Amino acid sequence: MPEPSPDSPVASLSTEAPTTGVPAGAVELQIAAAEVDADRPARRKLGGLGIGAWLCIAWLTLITVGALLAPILPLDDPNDTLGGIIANRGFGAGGHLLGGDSSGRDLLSRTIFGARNSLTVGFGAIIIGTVVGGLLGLIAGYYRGRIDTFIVGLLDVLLSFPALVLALALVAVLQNRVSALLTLVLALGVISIPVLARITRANALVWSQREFVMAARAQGARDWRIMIREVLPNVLPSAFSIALLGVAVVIVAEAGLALVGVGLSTQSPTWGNIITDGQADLTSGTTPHIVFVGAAMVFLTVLALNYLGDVVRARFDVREAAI
Amino acid sequence: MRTIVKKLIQLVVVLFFVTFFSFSLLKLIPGDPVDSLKPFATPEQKAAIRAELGLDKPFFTQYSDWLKAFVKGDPGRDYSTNEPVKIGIGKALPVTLQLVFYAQILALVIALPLGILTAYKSGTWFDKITNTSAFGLLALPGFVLGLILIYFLGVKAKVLPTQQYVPFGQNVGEHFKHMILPAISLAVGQIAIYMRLLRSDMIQTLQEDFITMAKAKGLTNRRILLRHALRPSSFSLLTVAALNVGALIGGAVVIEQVFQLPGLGLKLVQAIATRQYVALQAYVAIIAVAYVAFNALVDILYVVLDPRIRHARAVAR
Repeated sequence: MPEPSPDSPVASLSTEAPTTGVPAGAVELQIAAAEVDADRPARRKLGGLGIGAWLCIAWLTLITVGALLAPILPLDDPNDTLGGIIANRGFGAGGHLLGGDSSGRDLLSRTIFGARNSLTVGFGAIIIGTVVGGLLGLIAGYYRGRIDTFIVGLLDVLLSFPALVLALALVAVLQNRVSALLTLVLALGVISIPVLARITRANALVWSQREFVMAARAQGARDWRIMIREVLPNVLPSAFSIALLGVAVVIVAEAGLALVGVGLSTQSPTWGNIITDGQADLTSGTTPHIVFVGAAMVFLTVLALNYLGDVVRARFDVREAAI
Repeated sequence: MRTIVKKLIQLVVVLFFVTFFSFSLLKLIPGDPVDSLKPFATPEQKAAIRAELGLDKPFFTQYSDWLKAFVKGDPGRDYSTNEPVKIGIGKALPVTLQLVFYAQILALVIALPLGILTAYKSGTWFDKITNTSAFGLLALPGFVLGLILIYFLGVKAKVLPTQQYVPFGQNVGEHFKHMILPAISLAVGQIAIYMRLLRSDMIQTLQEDFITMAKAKGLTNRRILLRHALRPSSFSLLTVAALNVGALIGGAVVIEQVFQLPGLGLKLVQAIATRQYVALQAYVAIIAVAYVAFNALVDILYVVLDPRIRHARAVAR
């Protein structure tokens, strides 16, 4: 259990996160972006991020904007088979940039509309995980004692199931009760709760022992006020970095569930469904490009999220051991 | 000894909660199993079936009945096919275990030398390139790599089979031929994790005094790295490798689907698709119990193997 170190750098009442430098352990991250270059103030103005981090942000912005604007972009209907003329045809076929999928639907359109669904699932699930898990972790770390034991026990039961197996079981329970999209978001949200709760708890344990929390209590602040105003702002950065990595995990999980046939309906465009749709054409050796397009979207997005998660982690000194 | 007993008691408590959770979770599935079993039966007939299946009993009695049967290795009969679920598990479990085992071994065999070398040559081009590739591999889902391998090695080059499973007892060579691609696909994410972990621990160990001492004695680099530095650097790697078995089992579900291996994962997915919830319940519970028991075993092994843990506990007491 991480205990507050006696030589804590911050002894003020400020609720700002302490500006700890890049930790020694971050050597392993090998991220040039995390090494703030003191000689070049121009780079600092950009937030001290390197070119890699900006590329990641640019990619995520691109797909997010694409996902948001998909209905008003000049794209074919993602479910229109266009008479099947570009079915299974590769890049550039018939003026379609990414060609067509197995039933002739425009792959570019499906990719962009797929971003809509895949990102909704990714961010939706992690928002649930962060809110529920963060709240549980905050309460457990702040109150300690029996409440802590109870919450940790609950998380341990959830963690006793391999995440994807639990997700499958939850899909079985939820499907036909709520919409397919909500089923996925809830199932993947629940499996992300324990991880986010644990990191929040580990940090809340340390932060709620700090002097400014004691000062707030001495001034007569209520528990919930201390939790929200004093402890929460300090545990957020670490939860944020884990949440970024979590979105990546959920996007992969969505594709995995789609492949085993329990994702959204095969009509709905998602990156997982694009891969699933192209699977038969790839194994028959005719047109591998459908799988490659879906796989590339998942790969690039996960890469960008992992990279940014690591940058955030290096900056805020989230201890690996606490995860 | 006392720690081991304590851990065993903990294990029993966790197992109770885990089985209870799997049982109640899948009881929440909407729809009456009797409706799917005999959709056109009269209410009286339905009540009779319900009594026969024990579905009219109180919840906790149902749980204890189910648990007793489950421990005996008989999770009951399936509602739709009316066949015992047990047989399916007996055939499927070895496939999944083999897949997870091969993937784990493969990941460690590749990650160990890379981790040692990148730590030894840290900061060099070799280190940077290996690390960047590892970071890229982390973003590559196993099933995506699986599909890519199927296309290039299976479909284009035709060097390896991509579907079906051959039991070990039937033909050892064919068995490994069929398992190599699934094992690589499952291992890929773990390789990067293990390598990065070993590298960072190893870099720390290499700065210790006893390494300087070993260098001063004139030992070869090989000996220093393998005999002096590896053991103290490998503890967190082993912990993570043990915990990762859960991730491997989860990953195996999708890999089994991609390569059509008749393992527990494929059974699990089929059970969901065909709504065989008794089977699903059993599969979920078995996977969770195996995972929990495995982690407890690793925990106990630590106490037995690592004198430092035993010693620290003895001093604390």
